[in-house]
Amino acid sequence: MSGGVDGLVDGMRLAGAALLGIFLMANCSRPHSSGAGGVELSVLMDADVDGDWHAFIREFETLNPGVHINYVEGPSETNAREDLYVTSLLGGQAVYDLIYADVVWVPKFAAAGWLEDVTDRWPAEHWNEFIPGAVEGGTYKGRIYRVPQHIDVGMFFYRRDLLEAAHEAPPETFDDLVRVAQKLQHPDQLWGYVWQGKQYEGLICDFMEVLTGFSGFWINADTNEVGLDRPEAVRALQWMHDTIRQTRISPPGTTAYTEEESRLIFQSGRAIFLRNWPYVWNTSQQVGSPMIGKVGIKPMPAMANGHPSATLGGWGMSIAKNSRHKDEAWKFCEYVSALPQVMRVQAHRGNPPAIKAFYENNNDQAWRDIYRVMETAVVRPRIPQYAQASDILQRYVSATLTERMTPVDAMNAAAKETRLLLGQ
Amino acid sequence: MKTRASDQAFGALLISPAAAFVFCIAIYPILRVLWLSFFTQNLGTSLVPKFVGIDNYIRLANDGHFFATVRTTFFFTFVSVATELVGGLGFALLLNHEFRGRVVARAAMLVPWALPTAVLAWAWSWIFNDQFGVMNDLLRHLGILVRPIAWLGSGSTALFAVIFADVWKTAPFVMIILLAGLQNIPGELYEAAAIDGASVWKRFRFITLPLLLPSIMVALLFRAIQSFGIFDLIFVMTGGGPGGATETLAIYTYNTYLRYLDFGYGSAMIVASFALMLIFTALVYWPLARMRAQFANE
Repeated sequence: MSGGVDGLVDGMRLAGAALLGIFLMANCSRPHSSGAGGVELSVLMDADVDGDWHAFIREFETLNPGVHINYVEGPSETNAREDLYVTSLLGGQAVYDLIYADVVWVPKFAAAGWLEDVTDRWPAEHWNEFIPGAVEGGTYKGRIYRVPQHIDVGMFFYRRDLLEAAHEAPPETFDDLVRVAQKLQHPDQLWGYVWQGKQYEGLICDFMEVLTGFSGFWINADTNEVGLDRPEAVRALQWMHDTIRQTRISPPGTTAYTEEESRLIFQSGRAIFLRNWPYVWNTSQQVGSPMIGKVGIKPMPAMANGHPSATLGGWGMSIAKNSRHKDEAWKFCEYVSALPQVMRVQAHRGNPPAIKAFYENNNDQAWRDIYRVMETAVVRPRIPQYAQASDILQRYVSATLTERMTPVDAMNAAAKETRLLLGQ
Repeated sequence: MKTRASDQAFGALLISPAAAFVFCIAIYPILRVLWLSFFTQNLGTSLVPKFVGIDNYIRLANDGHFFATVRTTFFFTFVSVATELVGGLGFALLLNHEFRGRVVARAAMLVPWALPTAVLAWAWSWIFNDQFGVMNDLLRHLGILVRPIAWLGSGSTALFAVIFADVWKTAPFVMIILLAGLQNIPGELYEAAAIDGASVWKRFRFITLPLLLPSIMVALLFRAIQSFGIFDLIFVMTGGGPGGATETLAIYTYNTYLRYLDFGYGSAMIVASFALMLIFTALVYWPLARMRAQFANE
């Protein structure tokens, strides 16, 4: 009997390996240089649902004869694409010449020596045309490794209609937020405040905004000092915990919510306040949404003496260090980060451009509001071990929100593990 | 004698492509990971391997996070495999009887197993949602719950919710193996036992169970090994949260290796999980093998 099982297991292994082999051959044997003097560049991105990227590629190829861009459609999940990039880069060969990079990948990829330093390819004035946070997000140890394309910032959405009816102003402080939420909410039909409390990267984005609002910090960019066990950080975590457990302005399910769960509650009219990303502006104002004309945007509240802040995310184009066609790759970076191109993507997908000019010449009040939020952007720690530091913090913040640990114990443990990670 | 030797050589030649394949995809990676586990290779060393002896294993022995994931993995495997076995056996016995629509029922039972795990994990995470989830709605209508529960939002319920989804998906697999085993048991044995006046329980205990045991062992081994390496379902449903309550060995290893790029330490973790899995499999297999020997003596 067991011989038969072994045989079956081996058979399945072989079949698996054969499939993998076929996949690898199909992907790796593509020629990088095609034909006489032609150059082929490849980039891995998510599915081009609106066709914008294929249009850019056609235009770019017309402007640059002999250069061909191979757009490889990857999974829509950011982590899955990061894994694909990492595995290909570990091999040492530039399977992808261009890397469409999330802001949190840059320190890790740069520290691993996978990205081309592009600082000197543009004069400083040109870099200044972008929103500072977007450039900063592509910077590691003072050098720039990524041309920003889109920028995402955490922002505070509120129900303009409900606040006006109750003669309340949009909250500026955490205390205001709790007071107004408690006054107007009637759970389970209408919740005060919804946000992202699942153990994942989004939780860190929410936590950083509250932390900065309490004048705390996570890891100091200059000194690598860890601030998680300081009283401000403990108070910030306590406040987040209380929204679910004590002031009860957030549903108990918050500890399992990502962006979409919280957005659906808000967009179906069941919450007064929402912390989320700019895409919610598009989805809540599109045809069929019950929230058209009822939504306002502002920066996250803060303590009266703290700073409102917005966690910075966003995408940009990097060049693989091992690419054999860096100059052609750079031309593509320049092309896709220019205003006409980023505006087209904005129109279809809602991703806010990283170029200042878009906002400065905009007549739409919502975009001026979003720009105001961008000025408060904070960048997540730019350390090579970011993924690990984030996982440590996620685990302890989540343990507090689910009442497995007190805020003090959780922050002390998180600080200790983070210092260990940073070799302190 | 001479012919036998050349036969053997010919046989070796014939299996050599397959053997080479197995070496490349099964044995080489294991040896490679074992070798790498004696090095530090991470972002701190700019991904250059540095020999450190058994340092990675010492670090592992002091890593409370690692042991927490080992505990979760053992708990998950034990509870889900035990439940699947009992449930799978029940359904197999049921579907082994003649009734109208049996073919349809058998096919329907297999649907969960045929669905891609990532897809159904996504569906389950919405089923367990506190505001929109079907689970809460159902339990409230049945009068079991007053207020909705955030199943995936609390450490105590998340692990059970994940196990529930896993059992739902893989019990059909156990069922199909056991059903095949049941169909191999000759009907005359039951007829003879019935004539001798054996009760239903006695027929189950002295005919079904001993003859089904080989199939049970196959199902158990398959499921224990798969379950020990559980990744996709948990990755999609909870990502290991909340507060690390559903983080298994495979998730921690994946994070260490692929996201933290800590290859040396990740390799040590893989070697340790491999050893743990062998021990675990032996622990599952041994009592059943003894039981089988005991049945053979009866």
